[in-house]
Amino acid sequence: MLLTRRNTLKAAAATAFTLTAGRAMAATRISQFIWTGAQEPVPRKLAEAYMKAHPDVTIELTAGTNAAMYPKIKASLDISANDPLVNFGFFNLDASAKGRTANVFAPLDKTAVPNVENILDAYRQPDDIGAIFCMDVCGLVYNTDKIKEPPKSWNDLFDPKYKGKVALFDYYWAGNGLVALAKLNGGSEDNIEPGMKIYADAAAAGQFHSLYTSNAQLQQLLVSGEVWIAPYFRGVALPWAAGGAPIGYSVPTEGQVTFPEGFQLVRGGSAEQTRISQEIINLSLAPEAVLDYCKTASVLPLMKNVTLPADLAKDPAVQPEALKSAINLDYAKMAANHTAWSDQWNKRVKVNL
Amino acid sequence: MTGGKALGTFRSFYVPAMLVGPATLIVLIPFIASLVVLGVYSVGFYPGGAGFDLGVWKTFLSDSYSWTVIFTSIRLAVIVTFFCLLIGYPVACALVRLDSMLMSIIAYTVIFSPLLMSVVVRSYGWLLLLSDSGFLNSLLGAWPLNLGPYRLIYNEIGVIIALVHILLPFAVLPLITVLLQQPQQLREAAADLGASPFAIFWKVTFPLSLPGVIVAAEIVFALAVSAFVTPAVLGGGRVLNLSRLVYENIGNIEWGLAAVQALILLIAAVGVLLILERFNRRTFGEKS
Repeated sequence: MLLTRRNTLKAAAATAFTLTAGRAMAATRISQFIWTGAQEPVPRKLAEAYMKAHPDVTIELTAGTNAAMYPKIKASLDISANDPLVNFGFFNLDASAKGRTANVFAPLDKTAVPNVENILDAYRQPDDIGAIFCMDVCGLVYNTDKIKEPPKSWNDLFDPKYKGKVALFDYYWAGNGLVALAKLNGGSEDNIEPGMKIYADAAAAGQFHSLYTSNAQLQQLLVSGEVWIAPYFRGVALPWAAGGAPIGYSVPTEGQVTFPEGFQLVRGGSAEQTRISQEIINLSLAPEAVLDYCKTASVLPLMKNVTLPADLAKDPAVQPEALKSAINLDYAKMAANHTAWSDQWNKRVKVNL
Repeated sequence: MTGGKALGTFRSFYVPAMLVGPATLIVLIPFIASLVVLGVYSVGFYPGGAGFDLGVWKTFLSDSYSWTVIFTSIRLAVIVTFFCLLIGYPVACALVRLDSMLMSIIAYTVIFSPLLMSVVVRSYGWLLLLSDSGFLNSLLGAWPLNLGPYRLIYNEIGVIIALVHILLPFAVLPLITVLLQQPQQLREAAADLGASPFAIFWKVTFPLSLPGVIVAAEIVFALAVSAFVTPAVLGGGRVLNLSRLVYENIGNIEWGLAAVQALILLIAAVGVLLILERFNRRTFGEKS
């Protein structure tokens, strides 16, 4: 072929078309939100496997917390209803309740996510908005060097022998024991006062060392011995203990707080993004994926077709009687009351620290 | 003549406009747009909002807790600014007098290297250094001092120490600039007239450097009053500041309240900066 101006332009146009078409074909981009720490490896593994099997799909994983990510998702939908920040992700029932009220999440299509049928009936979400497939439990996390006898009760948090050695997660009602203490003392999600009073009095008495805002802070506080005991999640504490940290998890006799978790599909994605997101959710709900997740993140499966292996099932925290006496929270009411509780928390607990 | 006039206009207007235009666009447009959005959100115009309503302003400003947080934020920023200037001034004096190139490189690297590191990393670094079992308490607890351990984190002390470290370079830079601009001959003349080294500093160097001190104070104050990460990491819930409240209310999807708090934070910062700038212009404007 002669190198003429016309041929050169033709070649350039053909190249541009090929590149554009190629990029368009590989353009399905999925944004998935995952949690950090021990909850991170399995979703990453599944996403890599999916991308390998589907080279035309790119999955961008964003790791973070519900507290930080949910407002961003809500804001992205407020700005553009058809361009959500993430297409799907991992959410606790607190964020799920907020998203349900604010119309952030979309129902899952049972034909696209058939594995949703295997979720235990008690945890199946109304209209299949979300696939809540696993559960963490919140009890007492403690430094095993400082506390030789595992704590037994939520009231141990207020034992004078631990004065100045107790830490709490700031504003995290399921993870700092506020609602559990309220319920154990005659209150409820509708009446937080009994719990709030206990925390306010304890703050004024110098019982609390500090309020932390990240898992890393709690780990540092416990490992350094500055804090001896804190209410927090088994699924966070056990991986630390497995890594050699002097940290233990204890089940309060009054019951652990249940903390169901799972996937939510965010509204506003394209038809193709929705299809792929649901396909990945379905793959993530396969028995082997759920089991892998539960082992890695030390959480309990809520699936009819998944049981923990014998070695993990021996843990006292997951025994039937421990789960039967667990404290179940009404996350929808907690979400509705969050702002009012935060205000009380600021004025009665934080200012008295 | 027409061509010359056109060229003059081009040089006097279009060239400066082209030079400052991109920076102005990058800085001003997002700033003004953010202010407009915050303003309309603060009076109830946001997705899901109820429309025009000054209720959030009234509630926030009539709440004693809000004022506690506002005053704590400003007090903390003032303390951090004071210590940055106190530490930064001698550092800047020393840096401008260094003759050795090697020493200059080492000194500038030490002073400005914190800027190369994430503020999150630096804050967590201070967490480890200042904890009960950290480096500083270990040092104090070692023989022969046998002191402590002292609670240096999860209170204002830790936040102030970390913020002073993080913001020190922002104080040193304008101080270096103003000290370098001082003619050496002034100090030599003062010395020739019999002034002692202290008198030279107090009556010549320091007064002439005050505009730089004010600029340094403005920069450090603005950054300290709006600091978020360091108080969050090292405050342990005890250090109440407005940035944290804004963050919490964004998390609660309380857009209106978050907007009001963000605007109050801005008003507080701008108010202090205006006072400093007015003082700067009144005191030094006519002399320059």
